[in-house]
Amino acid sequence: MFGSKKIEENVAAEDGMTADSLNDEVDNHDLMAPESIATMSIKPSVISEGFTINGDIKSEGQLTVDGTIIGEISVDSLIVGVSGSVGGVINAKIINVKGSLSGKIHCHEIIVGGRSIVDGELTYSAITIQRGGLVKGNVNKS
Amino acid sequence: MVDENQNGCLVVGEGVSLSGKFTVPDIASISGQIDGELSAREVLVGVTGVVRGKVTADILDIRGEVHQDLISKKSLFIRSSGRVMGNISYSEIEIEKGGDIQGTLTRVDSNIIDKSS
Repeated sequence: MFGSKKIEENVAAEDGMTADSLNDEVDNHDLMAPESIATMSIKPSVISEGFTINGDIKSEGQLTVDGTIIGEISVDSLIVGVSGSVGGVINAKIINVKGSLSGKIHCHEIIVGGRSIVDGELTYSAITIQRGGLVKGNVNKS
Repeated sequence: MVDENQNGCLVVGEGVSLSGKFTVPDIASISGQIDGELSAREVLVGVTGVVRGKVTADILDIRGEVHQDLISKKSLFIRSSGRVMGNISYSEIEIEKGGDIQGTLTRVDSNIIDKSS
């Protein structure tokens, strides 16, 4: 029992150290937006290529999808990779799409890359569509 | 942008208000206000430009406002100051950050439009 407590303390100390060093690193980038700092403090989750999930996902941090997700997704930052596909009800602060995104999408900022597909009902505050990006459906500014 | 005396061009200066149906063979550069139908090869809507009505063009470059229908056969650019509201048909689209788009977007193959028209 004592042993395990010690390990826990060690882990906590290490976590503290890494968090501090991360913060130091972040402080050096004055130009960074506050949101991205908050995102960086939580390690990103990754759904790799070939991986398929049917279900709901909630995260305060970043989610990178190279596989397939169908369901209700609520994250801070969503990155859909070239091979990624996300469908369902999507709530995110920042969405960066390089693959395909469909369904009911609610976000603050969305970046639709060239060659990517966004289909469905989209509500945004800021939108960027790169040349070649495909957007279908209803688009509304909140 | 557009030369003073270029053939087939329409230039609407800031403060100028027009209404009616306009068919422009080449470039329409709009910095004023247009109510009605506008079709051109290329439409450039300036920062102060406002178009209310149906706009049809191969290439559309929007820095101002466009209300109602928008049909772009080739490329549609919405710049950071641009605002577009209504039904939008395009074959290629690019929106700069800050650009505002509201309505229904439909992608059409540029070849299909050419055949039907």
